[in-house]
Amino acid sequence: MKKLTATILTAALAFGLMACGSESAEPKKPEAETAPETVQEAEPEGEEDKKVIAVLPQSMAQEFGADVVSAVEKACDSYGYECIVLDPDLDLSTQISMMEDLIVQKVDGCIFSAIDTTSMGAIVEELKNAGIKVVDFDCTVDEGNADASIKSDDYQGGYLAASILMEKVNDPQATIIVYGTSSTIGTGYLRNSGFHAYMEENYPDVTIVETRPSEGAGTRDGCRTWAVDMLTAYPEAKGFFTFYGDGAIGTYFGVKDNGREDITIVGYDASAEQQEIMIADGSGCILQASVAQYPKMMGRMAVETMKELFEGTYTKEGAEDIIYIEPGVLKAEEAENYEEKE
Amino acid sequence: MNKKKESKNNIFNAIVRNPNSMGLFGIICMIITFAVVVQLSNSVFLSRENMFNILKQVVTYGLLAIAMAVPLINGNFDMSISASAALSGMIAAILTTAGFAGIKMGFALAVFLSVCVCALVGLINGLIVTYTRISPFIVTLGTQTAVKGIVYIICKNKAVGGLGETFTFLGFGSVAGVPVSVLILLAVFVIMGIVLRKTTFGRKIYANGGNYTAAYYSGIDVKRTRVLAYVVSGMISAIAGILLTARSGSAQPTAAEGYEATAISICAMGGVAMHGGDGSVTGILLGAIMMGMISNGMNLMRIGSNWQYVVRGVILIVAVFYSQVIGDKAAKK
Repeated sequence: MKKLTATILTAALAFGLMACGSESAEPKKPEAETAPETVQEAEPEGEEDKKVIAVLPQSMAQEFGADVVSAVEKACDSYGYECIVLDPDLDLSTQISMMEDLIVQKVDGCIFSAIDTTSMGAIVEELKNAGIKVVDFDCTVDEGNADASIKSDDYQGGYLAASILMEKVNDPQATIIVYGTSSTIGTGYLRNSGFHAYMEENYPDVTIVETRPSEGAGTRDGCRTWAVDMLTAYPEAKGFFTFYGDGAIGTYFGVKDNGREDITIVGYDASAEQQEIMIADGSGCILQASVAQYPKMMGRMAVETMKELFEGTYTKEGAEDIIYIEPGVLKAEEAENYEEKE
Repeated sequence: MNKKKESKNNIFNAIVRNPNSMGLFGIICMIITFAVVVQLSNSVFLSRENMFNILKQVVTYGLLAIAMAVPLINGNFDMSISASAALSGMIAAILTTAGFAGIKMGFALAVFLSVCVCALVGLINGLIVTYTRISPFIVTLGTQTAVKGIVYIICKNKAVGGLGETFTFLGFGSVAGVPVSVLILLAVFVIMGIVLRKTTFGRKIYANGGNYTAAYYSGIDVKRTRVLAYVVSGMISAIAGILLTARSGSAQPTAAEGYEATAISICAMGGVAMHGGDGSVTGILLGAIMMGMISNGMNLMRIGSNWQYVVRGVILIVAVFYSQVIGDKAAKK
């Protein structure tokens, strides 16, 4: 009986794994419809030469990461590349482990956003030594040793956010609440730095309160609770700045729940959901603006750059050579006409 | 000839009828089956490089599983292991880089201090659990939260990088072709195996977990044993945290977040009884290897991350169910 149970259970395990494995191992075929104008005409490769590109956002739970991944998948389809999506879910050790596995798998390319920009130089070097082309995006490795780097100018984005916020708040003595930077995500630090820089230059008397929630940090619900708590602690506050998309939406719902229509929120990532909120509420929406990074453009450009790396037509000229995407702005008063660049 | 056959049958029966062996037989079966399936899908799975990859990847999980197992076998929970790991990694990183409050020290001393601090966390856990009626789960959940806050305070919400050569060697170096971190993992498992099975302290751990009242009436200092179990758990968590920091190249305040759940899964897969009194170091090591193989294997089979969660959950339930079935059947015999 014991052996029969063992046999049945292990057979079930084997069957399940083989089913999952065979389904995912099938190469993705290029879509039959015409590729979009923004992507060059694809030349699907033969089955034997099919390049494999792995993409690792910081977390698929973040809308930004999910948008980049979907654009990467679309671009890979059009070029006839196979795309593997891996989700480290904001865990550095998991991301490193996944990248080590890519070396064993001998993929052709790796597109990733570093969970810790200060310490991932070593794993990038290992990937390159294994002959894998590496493109980092958004949170790029500080050592700058990836084969190509693509990001939006975070500092400029934070600077821009501050200018828009203060244009709306229009009070040199205001109290502004800023979502504090995460310990691991370098982009937040840069965005907040740009924000502070603008404030110091133009509104030195503004009181800035920078904190982050102890519970649920990085989640929409956590941010919502945080916003409500901040308004309770600082009822005189006039504005909020959050450096990432879900934070902006969480803050929006928290402030709305509090009935504070006098608050101005400026967020980041300019996601479709933020646009919907702005359209629904009109030009008076408390979520007044959101800095756009154009994640779909970023994902497309990452694959195009990867293609150039495969063909040998792109060479990075040093650590400072970064392909910058100029940040844009989604504003509530123009939300209906806003189109994300792809 | 007949004597040889009889002898072999006796050995076979001894293995089959021994409940510990049958539990291990189950996880070994699963490991072999999984390995075969993945190898058929991707021929590099059983390569030397990939095997070392798996071992490197299970170092932290394996050590945290042992850290979880000691109080678990003793009949208690320790949910603070992940926070202790983050704390030790952060302390060691800060002390060897920028220093703390003007104090900077060498790697060995920093590690020693980190282990002492985490032992203190374990001591606090042990004392509260032993001398109050608060559930161990709640106590250690509370210390987990508090320790996490301490980590954020001492690092000021920033990751600590720029680690020295010793850290780098721990994380990326090898001795005789074997990664250093794996050697440390194996050393800890060997030591804990000896401690749990061959020492008086180890026997007390099992006795406490098996039947606390009976252990008390048999003259075991059950309270002292319980406290010490938590101290040991804290110390092993500290080692896990330092290796995690070495492997990551920086100390993250969010390090090991959620790893306690994985540690419990490994313990369950390895045959550690959730109610205490039962479990083996070998089983835990096999459970850790199985857990590492699951992630690695699914990556090699190019199963997307979303489906990996599903498969991992199913395999966990299957593995634990199998261990339970075997254990129950062996107990009936």
